[in-house]
Amino acid sequence: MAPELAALAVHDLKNALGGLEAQLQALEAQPEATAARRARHLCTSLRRELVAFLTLYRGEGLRALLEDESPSELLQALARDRLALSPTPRLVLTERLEAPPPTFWYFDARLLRLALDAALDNACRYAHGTVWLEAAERDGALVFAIEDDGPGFAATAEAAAARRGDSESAARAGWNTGLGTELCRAVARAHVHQGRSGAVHLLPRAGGGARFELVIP
Amino acid sequence: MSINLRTTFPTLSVLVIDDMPTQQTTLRGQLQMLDISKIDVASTAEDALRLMKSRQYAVVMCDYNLNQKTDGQQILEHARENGLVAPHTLFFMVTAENSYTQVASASECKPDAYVLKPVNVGDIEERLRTQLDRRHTLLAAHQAQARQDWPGVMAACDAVVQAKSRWTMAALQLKSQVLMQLGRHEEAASLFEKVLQIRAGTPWAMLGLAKARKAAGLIEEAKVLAYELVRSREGEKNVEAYDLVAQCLEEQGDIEGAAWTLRDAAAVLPSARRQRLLGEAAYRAGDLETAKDCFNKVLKQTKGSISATAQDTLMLAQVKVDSGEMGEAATLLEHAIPNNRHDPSFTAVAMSIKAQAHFKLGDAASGEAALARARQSTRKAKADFGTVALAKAQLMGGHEEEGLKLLSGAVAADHENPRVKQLIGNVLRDTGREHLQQQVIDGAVQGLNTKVADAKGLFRNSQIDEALAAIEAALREYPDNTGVLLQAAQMNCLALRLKKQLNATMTERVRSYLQRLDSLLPGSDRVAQMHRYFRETTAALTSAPKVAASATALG
Repeated sequence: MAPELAALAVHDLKNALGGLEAQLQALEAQPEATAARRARHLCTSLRRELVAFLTLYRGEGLRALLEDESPSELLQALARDRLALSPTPRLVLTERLEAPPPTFWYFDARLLRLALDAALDNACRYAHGTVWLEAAERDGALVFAIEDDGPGFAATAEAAAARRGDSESAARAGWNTGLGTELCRAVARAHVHQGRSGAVHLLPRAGGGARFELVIP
Repeated sequence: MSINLRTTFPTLSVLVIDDMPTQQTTLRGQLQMLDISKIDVASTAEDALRLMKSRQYAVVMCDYNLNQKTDGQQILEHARENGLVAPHTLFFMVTAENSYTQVASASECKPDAYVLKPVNVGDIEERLRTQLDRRHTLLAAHQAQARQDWPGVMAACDAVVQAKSRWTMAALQLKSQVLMQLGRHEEAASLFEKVLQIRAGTPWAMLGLAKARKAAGLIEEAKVLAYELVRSREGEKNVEAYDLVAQCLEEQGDIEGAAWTLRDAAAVLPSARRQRLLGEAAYRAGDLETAKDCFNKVLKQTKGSISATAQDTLMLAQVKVDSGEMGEAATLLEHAIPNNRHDPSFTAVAMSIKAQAHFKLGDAASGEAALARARQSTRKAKADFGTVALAKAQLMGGHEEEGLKLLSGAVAADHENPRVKQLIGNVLRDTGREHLQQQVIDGAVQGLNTKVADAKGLFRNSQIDEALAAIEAALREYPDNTGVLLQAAQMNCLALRLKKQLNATMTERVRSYLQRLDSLLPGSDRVAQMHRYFRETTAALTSAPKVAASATALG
């Protein structure tokens, strides 16, 4: 992990903690269920981000422990967990008839969960109303895709750069350490099969928005 | 999922094993949020084992870092080895996030799932859903397995595969295990090859294929396949593959190579079990330094733990005596004897080793005194470490006749056991009697071979009942001799075929022989083949009354 990225991540985590502290202060003055849920949401995201940070920071390279897993169940669990925290945006699990997800595939479910959680967090942060989740087999590999109807990757990168350093803004709009993409790439690289490595693709979504792909051989 | 597994949560009974009161409270609360109310909590390994003995739990949630003496992995291994958890009990290991990869990538006995700290309700629910789904999908197969209905297991597995279930690979793995267990290694090999076509490099299929090749007598091919696995990214920590390489090398007569392979396995997974296996192999190969190092590590790792065994102390004491460290050996035994005073076999072996130490120091009187105590508790010669230790003490004390008699008895007790022969060869060498190896070992082997050959001769002369009486007489004399047990099982099967009828006494006899063989030689290819021959015999006699016995089968 590059020292610059580590410093950036810790900086943003500090800002996010500041945001959480502010939310808890407000709750102390006036307890309220929706605000408490929001604080917990931030706390969960923060914990995930810290796990992602530690996973990357160890530096010895990720080691994927491959087991036969269900891609559909992974996406269902991901969506279930997300919905328990927040009802918006709308999550849609899509399944294409011409390329249904394989019933099982070999991957490290823990690492994929970390990566997809980060990608889903990102998509939900920028989506206008809907996020689509999909798993499909393509060219002998498993492809997890997360699409949103937000402004697209180029616009969100600019917004993140503008927001960096502003803890109030981070607490208000969510926050982004930049760890997510780094983590996804490391998780993809850790998945190697028969000489093929996994990959991450950041693409524009047909019809507007962003499409994130995690490819597992 | 075809059923709503969440609705089954309230029926689950859960055992939480954790030494931290706060963590116990947290886990209990989280399980209650999932509508699970039947929760027991254990703070120590001993409490956990007591509870597991007293009732069956649907789920065990065990903290990996339980305390300094015993970790969660040791509890899992002990519980599974001693049947304290039912096959359907789900064992979840709770580990710290930073040690998960190391814990999960290198363990011989895997839990059903890992739950990472900090634990949250969602994680527990997800693991429960997944594992209950697996259990539900494979239920018919496991039920058939419990009643030893092997065709039923395979049919149930086929149904799971045909349904294109998410648990297809698990079903194929279970089916392949049954085929191997039944001695149908050709069919198992085809199945492993099919799995490797679905997913190249699948570690369990590669290992299974290697085992199937070994069972077919293709030792070199088996070794190459197992090597390929340990060199692969996914199989580099597969210690079972290392074991298979070591077994192949041992069968090919490369004892040193086998010990080196076990050394590699112990480096990959430095568990007490691995150190123990390496220590024993090194001791047999005469590498005292490695043996000492290994048993020192074993004792250190298992001190105060449920996985500590008295045998480790005895082995280390013996290695120390052989290395000339008599004082240290004596201290080790002095400390261990009070803890094992109710175990007469421990006392006998400990006294044998003490006697050796005294004789080595030139204190004949103390040596004789210890030897006398060792003799008191020693019964008939067995093919085991204790008999060999006593024989060595006898020889060192100048009791040549008794010592050699014990060694011959140990060979005869299991005359096809190469490891005992190795230990005996070492004793004869260490006591300056190398020239007697042929007389002691080959003589005893010859004696047994003659008994078996006599019985076979009677059989060939169509004196079937006399042949059976002869082999059973040999068995009465040497009840744990695996070679004789195999011959006795085969002869009874042949007799059944020749007599062309199912005889309840004979079939029961073969069953009891096979049962003894299963416990004496777990996982043996030869025993699996004998099981198969017995099944084919009974099946043939049930379906067609006229079955021809093949005289060539008496190999």
